[in-house]
Amino acid sequence: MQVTWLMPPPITAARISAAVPRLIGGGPLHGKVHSVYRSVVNVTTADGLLAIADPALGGLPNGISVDLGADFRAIGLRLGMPVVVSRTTAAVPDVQLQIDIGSAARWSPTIGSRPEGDGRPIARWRARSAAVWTMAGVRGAANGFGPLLRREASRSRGLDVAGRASASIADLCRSLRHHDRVGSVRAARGLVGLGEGLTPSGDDFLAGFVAALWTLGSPDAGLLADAIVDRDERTTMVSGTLLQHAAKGEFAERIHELMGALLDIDDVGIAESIERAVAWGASSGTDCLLGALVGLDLVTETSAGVA
Amino acid sequence: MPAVHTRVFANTYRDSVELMQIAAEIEAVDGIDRAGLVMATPANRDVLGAAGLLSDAASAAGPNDLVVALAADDDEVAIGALEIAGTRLAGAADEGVGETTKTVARTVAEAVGELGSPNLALISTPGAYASAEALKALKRGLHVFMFSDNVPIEDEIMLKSVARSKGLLMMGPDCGTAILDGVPLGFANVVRRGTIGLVGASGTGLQQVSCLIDRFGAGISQAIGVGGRDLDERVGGAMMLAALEWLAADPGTDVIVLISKPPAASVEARVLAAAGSVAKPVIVNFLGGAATTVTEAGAIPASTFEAAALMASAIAQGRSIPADPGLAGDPADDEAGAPIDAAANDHVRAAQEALEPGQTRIRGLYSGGSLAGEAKLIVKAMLGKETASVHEIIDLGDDEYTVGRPHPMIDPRLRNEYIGVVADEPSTAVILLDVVLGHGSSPDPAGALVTAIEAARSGRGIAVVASVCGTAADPQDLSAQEATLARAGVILATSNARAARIATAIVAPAAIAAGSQP
Repeated sequence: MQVTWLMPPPITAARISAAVPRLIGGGPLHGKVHSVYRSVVNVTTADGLLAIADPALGGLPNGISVDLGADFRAIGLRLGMPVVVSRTTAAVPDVQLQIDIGSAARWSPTIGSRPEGDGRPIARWRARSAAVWTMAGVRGAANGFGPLLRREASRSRGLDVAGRASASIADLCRSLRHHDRVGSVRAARGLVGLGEGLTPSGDDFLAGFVAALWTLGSPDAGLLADAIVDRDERTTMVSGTLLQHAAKGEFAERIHELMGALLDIDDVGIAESIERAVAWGASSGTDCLLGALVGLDLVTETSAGVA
Repeated sequence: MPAVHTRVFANTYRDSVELMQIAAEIEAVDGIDRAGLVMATPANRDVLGAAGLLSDAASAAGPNDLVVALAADDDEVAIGALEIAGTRLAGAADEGVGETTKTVARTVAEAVGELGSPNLALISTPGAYASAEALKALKRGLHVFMFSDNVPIEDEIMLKSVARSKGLLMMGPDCGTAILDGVPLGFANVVRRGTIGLVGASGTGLQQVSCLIDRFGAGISQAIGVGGRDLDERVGGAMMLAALEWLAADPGTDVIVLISKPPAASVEARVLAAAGSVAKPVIVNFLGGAATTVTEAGAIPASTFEAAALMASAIAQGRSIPADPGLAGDPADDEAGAPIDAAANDHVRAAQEALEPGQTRIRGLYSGGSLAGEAKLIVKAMLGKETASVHEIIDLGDDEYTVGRPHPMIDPRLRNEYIGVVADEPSTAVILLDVVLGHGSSPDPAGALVTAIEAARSGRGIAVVASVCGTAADPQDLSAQEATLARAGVILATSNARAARIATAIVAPAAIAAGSQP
């Protein structure tokens, strides 16, 4: 094919998520450029978005990590441009971009479970929960669900997002403690798509929350799948894609690192991990951290039989 | 009742940081009652509905559509704010498709590479990220001015230790102001250059002293902010000591002024020992601190920001050092020689005559924390601790009031709301205000207060007393701002200390007449 011959040599991807081949399926996937940011290009697929992202962002559950330069917006990509993704190559012919994904290393976005039967992570979390909440409160963002990390009322002008979230989070925890599946799904649905940002705060919270449940092997970890059955109607496509992966236990690498730090043997480095966590987006990292802390508290209390 | 205005941007995918910035910009528009900028998910449409911001257009929007909804009394204001959103989003879209070639440094390293040989980094990121950036800057040999707050004190100790080891200044965290070689940083006024060097752990204190020095005809060599916690025992005054050493060695500085709340005892001893060993005159204004310890150390105590400015100016101008009038002072003494102070006694009498029975309290609504602190000390010094406790002076710039909204030095709406609240309380006799000019402050802070002040003064005889912290060269123009307030019936003083004394004199004639010093 002349088009291929005219194209410059492909750029080799650093890593791809093990979930990407699942998105591609058997044959080449024909998608379109959905959105372009400084470090990410999102591509539409039949089942959510595929993210081509700078390796500096770490692994994304739907991601191909590749260095396309300092600013992805500067390489001529336009919304709606055709994208072809096979098991070996991702290409945007209009800008003569080819990415070799066949030889890229794979990483697993599936979070490793630390089962409830192993009481050590639970004991460690109980011992450090209060201190971590304090650290998180100091470092968390002022916006999004940040005020809830500090147990403050929201002072947002006009929109009481944090207040509404607070009620849904309380409802979610109460329902899970009482093994009320219907109630917990209803409460989680109340958080889907709630709040400011391209990934609304409620979605980021839920990602952190279920990451905690998956990590500790909670039987309730799958509740998110029921809560987002109609995700396309309830939240943005970018966020819905990430929730879809979270419902399968697949998370961004930064969430793996956060959970690892929160439950690791040593206290050293927790503060640094929290700082890295809250540095994500405008408030996404803070919202996700809040979810993780609430989830860890909930599961450890449940395991201990504390109502 | 404010009308709701909405604009829907279909299939708009801007990153969260951009959206938050645009939301903050819209919320800061004067005249906007409430606003929301969210993706139109069902949950967010519910939230908009609860806030009374859900229009038919927003109801019909979907999760991938961005909704900007706001309520405002004035249609023009609303339309203007929506245009701001449209322009910003269009700008972001242009950037999003790579049509701009402008490069913006993303890291300290990139900035150093672009600029060649910078010597200072100004850090204003959220606190969680500020320490890492400051450390990078210090390691590259840059002085750091850190505007960011919410930085853990452990980080501050570490950063200041690194700075000391490298012979650099680490100004902050939570450093509001500095003027270095004539370049203003943060909230700073346009002051005359001169031979007085200032070091302050107090933002508006530093601004007040620098502006008064300008008013008295002298000038500033350097004004170095060190952050409000520098004189905490754990930090040990690390940067005040470093800045003192710098100014002691600076050939352009003849007089040094140190400004802070009273430090921890051990830190005070260390700072005063260092001040006493400097060959230049050092004036120490540790608000509310003991004068004797300062004198014993060989430095010159000043009880107020104004006293510190007067003394420093006198030394710089080769005059004898004036006596410190103390916190209580005299509201009408003419040391500063300003006509508006000469009329203070007349204003006090007129205000007293206008008061009705039951109007007894001072309500201080401040935008500057250090100015509020100075006013509290003056009220207490004049009335005694017990009597002073009935009066209330609050710092609306405190984190307690500014979570999720701009600082009152930038956005006057919060203070205007409070003026309305305290004016409705029967016991309010005097509303005491500071108005801070300079870079970073509201473009017309006096103008923004006028409507609220006039409403407060209508009806009962509430006196409004204020001082303007600024200079003739400030972007807002000191005399124009004072004239605006005077037209609104505000009793003006040339300094915050004088304003506090006037306010106290209005509510406590007996204490003033007796010249009592409890």
